[in-house]
This record gives sequence, C-alpha cells and structure tokens, in this order.
Amino acid sequence: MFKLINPLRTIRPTNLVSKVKPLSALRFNSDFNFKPLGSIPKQIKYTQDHEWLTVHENGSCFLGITKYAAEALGDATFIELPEVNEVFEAGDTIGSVESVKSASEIYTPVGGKVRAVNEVLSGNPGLINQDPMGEGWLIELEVETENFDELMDEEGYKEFLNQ
Amino acid sequence: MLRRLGDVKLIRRISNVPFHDDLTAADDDLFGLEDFKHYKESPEMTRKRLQLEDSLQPRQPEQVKSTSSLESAALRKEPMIFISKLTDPYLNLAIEDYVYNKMAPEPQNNRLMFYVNKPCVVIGKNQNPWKEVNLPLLNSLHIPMLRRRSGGGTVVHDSGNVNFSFMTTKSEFSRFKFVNLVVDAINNWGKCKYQLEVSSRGDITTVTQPDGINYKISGSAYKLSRGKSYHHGTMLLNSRLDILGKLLSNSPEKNGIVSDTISIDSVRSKVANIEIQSDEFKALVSEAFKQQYGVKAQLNKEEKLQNSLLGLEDFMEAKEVEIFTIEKNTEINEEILTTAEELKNWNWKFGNTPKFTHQFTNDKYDLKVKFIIGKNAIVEDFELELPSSSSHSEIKASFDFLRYAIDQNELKPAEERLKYKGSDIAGFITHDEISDWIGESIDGTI
Repeated sequence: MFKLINPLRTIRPTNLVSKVKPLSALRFNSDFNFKPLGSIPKQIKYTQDHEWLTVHENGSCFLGITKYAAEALGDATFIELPEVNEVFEAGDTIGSVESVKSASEIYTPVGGKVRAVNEVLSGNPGLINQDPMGEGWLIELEVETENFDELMDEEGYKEFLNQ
Repeated sequence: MLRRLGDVKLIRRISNVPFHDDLTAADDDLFGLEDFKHYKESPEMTRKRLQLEDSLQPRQPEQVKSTSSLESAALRKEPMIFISKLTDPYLNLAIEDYVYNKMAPEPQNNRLMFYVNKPCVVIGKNQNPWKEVNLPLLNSLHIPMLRRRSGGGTVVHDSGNVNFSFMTTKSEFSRFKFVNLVVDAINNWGKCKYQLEVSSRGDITTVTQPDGINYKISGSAYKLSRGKSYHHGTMLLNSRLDILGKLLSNSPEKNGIVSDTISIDSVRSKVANIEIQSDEFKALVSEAFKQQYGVKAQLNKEEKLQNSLLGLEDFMEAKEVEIFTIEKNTEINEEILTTAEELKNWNWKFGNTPKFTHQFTNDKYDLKVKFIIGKNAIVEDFELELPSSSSHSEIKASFDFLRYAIDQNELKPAEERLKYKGSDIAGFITHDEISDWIGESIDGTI
C-alpha cells in the first residue's frame, strides 16, 4: 500500500497534481472534492455498482456514489441512510436514494461499522446530485480490512464505464 | 420402477442375460419364470452389472428445468410471465419481491408479473402515511395500508385494477420502455374507450380529452438493485374511483396537519378507468411482452422439415414465453411468508416514515397539540397549547404521564421507546375524551 501524500500537509488540488503524483493517476480530482472528507485519502476505489470508497490514514472509509450514478439517477428527492454504529458486511445494502419515483439501493463494498452518516442529506438530498464525490458523501465506515484489491481503481472504473 | 425397467432393457439388449432379478410381470408370464422371482444377485454379479451399466449409460440430456414450483419458475433463465390469482396484497407484494430477488441479474433477464389485490392502500417507500392516507377511515373500514419497496406515491388497489410489474436488468432500466409497450398494446388492439399515451413522469394517461384533461390510468414506480430493476404500475380498468379518492383525502380538522421537509409527496391527478376486462388486459400485455422478449420456439426436426417444405420458415419463427400461474394451492415458501410478515410489521409500515410533526386542534377544549416524531416513528416530544385558565390546568395535567413516558425514551432500547401509535399515545393521556380524540385522530386506534 502506497502513501499518496503527507497527510499533515495542506494540499490543494493544484499542488497535488504538480508535485505529488503523476497526472494520470489523479485525473479524478476534477470530480472529487476532498474537503468534506476531512483528509486526503490514501486510496480511492470504485465498485461496479457505481459507488466510490475513499480509504483514509485513520482507518476510516467514506462511501458515496459516483458522478455517473448521480447523473443516471436524476434529481434525488430522498436519501435513506443507516444508523450510526450499525454494522454491515461487504455487499450489504446500506441505504437507498429515491429519485423520480425510483428507489435505488446503495451497497457497501466492504464490511464495517458506521462511524457517521451525512445528516445534511436528510434535509438536502439534492446535494448528492450537486457534489456526489464530496459534500454528497453518504457514510463514514470504520473498516477492518486493509485489502481493497478487489475493488477497481480509477483506471479500472473508467474502463468499466466505457464497456 | 421406471428406472428399473429401463435397466432391464439395457442389460437385455446388450448382454442378453436371461436370469435376472429385474424381470417384469409380463416376462414372468411369458417365460414361466415365476420361480426365479426371488433370485438374489451375487455381489460379484452386482458389481459387474453396475460397471456395465455405467459404461453404457447414455449421456444425460441437459436437465429440463421443471417449472412445477414457484421457485423453479422464478429461477429460470428464460423470460417468464407470472400471474397471481391470489388477492392478499401482502402475499402479492411478497411474491413480487421474491420473483425479483430470485431473478438472475445481468446480462439478460425479463419477468412480467400481474396481480390483483383486495381493496388496500399502498404508499411509496419513503412516504408519510399520516400525510397521504386517511388512517382513521381506513381503520374503520378494515382496509389495509401497505408500504411498498419502490419509490413514488400512494395508490389505491381494488379488484378493478391490475398491477403489472416488469422486471429487467439494471442496464436495461428505462422509465418509459415498458409503459410504452403497454400503451402500444392497448392502442393497437383498438377496442379501448380511450387512446392512451405516456406522460413525462412515466405514467399512463389518456390523450387529452375534450375537457382538456389527460386522465391518469396508471402510475409508475421503480426499484433498482444490484444488476436488476423493476417498473410496476397500477392500471385502472374498472376501479371504484369514488371510494378511491376518499381513502386518500385527509382533512386538517380531523386528521391534523402533518409537516415535514422531506418525505415524498404524492402527485394528485384526475383518474379514469379504461373499462377493459382484467383478463383481456393481461392477455394483450402478455402478448406484447412475448413479441418483445420471448424466446424462439424450439421446434423438433419434423416440425422444422415440415415448415421448410411448406416454405413457412419465416412465419413459424414464433416466440414463446412460459406463464406461471400462482393459485390458492401453489406452494408459497417460507421466504415469501417472511417477507409478507415484514410488510405487515408496524416498524416497516409506519416506522419507516421520515421525521415529521403532526398537529391537532380541538375546538371544544380550545387546545392544540403537536407531536414531534423522530426516526423510526418514535415520539420525541409534544407541545401543548392551552389558554391559561384554571379549568385547563386539569387538562394539562392529564398529559403528565405522556411527558413521563417520552422522558423515559432515552433510557430505553430503541424497540421499547414510545411509538407514534394512536392507542399507545391515548393510553398515556388521562383525560378520557381527549385521550379518545387523540387516538382516533392519529390513526383511528383508541
């Protein structure tokens, strides 16, 4: 597992791109907004269900839906989230998004305990459309695994989208 | 017995063993071999026979899945139509859920299900029943209220409407494709009272009528899961529209005022019946489904030869879809019954309501009471508004137990906290008349 950046340093996307990582691996920055997540993740993973998972130094993971998913769903009118401290196994449904009369299940690709849920979404579900990969995060999970190899990285997800 | 007879034939044909313990009654008579009936094969003979049988076993054709049970039908890879003849709404919704869950996800799969329910009201996954439904009226009429697992608004079911549910993969999900198929099927049939169209919300409506209205014939609701999705709707054929509206109409005086920021509101529309018989509708839509998603009929050699000799190959490319009918005597497995129980559970029906407040006004006592309802429909607080006269201090005191019960909430596990049930709240209010009024207003339970 590699360390993306020094977590103590304040990073702006511009110096991230120019100093820390080669451009190719960080193209997702245009979609991601790390500020609401508290720290820059050391890993970013994607699922075939169009969810993203960021892995942070402190052992927590944030989970949300990708921009592609948010656009496909249309305007969200309600977001159902789990309770803090609820425990999930990999593959479990953690909540759902209602948009234009459709209820879409959201899954967690890794098991863990819910550390926090994004309460802002319960009053403002539209945030998931405006900033799905930032302010529209869904839950923060405390995970046990350190192995996220089964999930796609950004390149893999892009290929998956192109299929 | 069949298999044993089969074995005999095999052995005979190949090795021609005359004295065998598997002789049939006919053989006995023909050959006078009655005495040999009790012949016991030696272990060595058995071993040899089995070896021989093994080596001669014809290759088993791929097992044709029997669709004798609901489970095997639900697991089929081919497109299927399910028609439920049951009328219990809990069972029908549970069967729909079951058929959906058992359907294999991507790359390709299609299901169509029809069901007709006894009178009931069905709200969307994220709706507030206190807001959408006249609960006291429903309760007095013993009409059940259900919360479904798809999004969208509230509908009333009765024997005059057919519910259709079209299931497919997630990548094939479309809000319009299936309702277009339904509308085309009805319009092409040409015998319907109205010409139909699909609205921008994915509903089926009449074309604009002389009064300028597009009457709604069917709403649409959707659910998307991993690798699959469904689109279901409630087609009004011969529903009792007069009653339908009443079950959903709330008056602020009687049913209070519900406020929330977030639950899904139903969109009220003018509705109409298309006055088609339910079987006719099912047949028309099934036929359209078959043409679209059916598999090519498997013809045997003779049929193929015959078709080619007669030059009918192009015409005979018939498509087929198997229909599975769920009847009273169809075995309903445990999984379905468990789902039906979940659907009946108060925690799902009512507890799944997003946070809200509910305010009632009582003119006789000049009081206002507002309940603050949190997650899982737990009573978090209430506010009482009373004129400050001495006669009202008694009324105020009659809410003391309720206050105490709410204060205790924090100390209790989630399951034991005070739920927003009319009868439970009323039980904590010591003024009889006010207690009854509140219980009745909340949901008609006292």
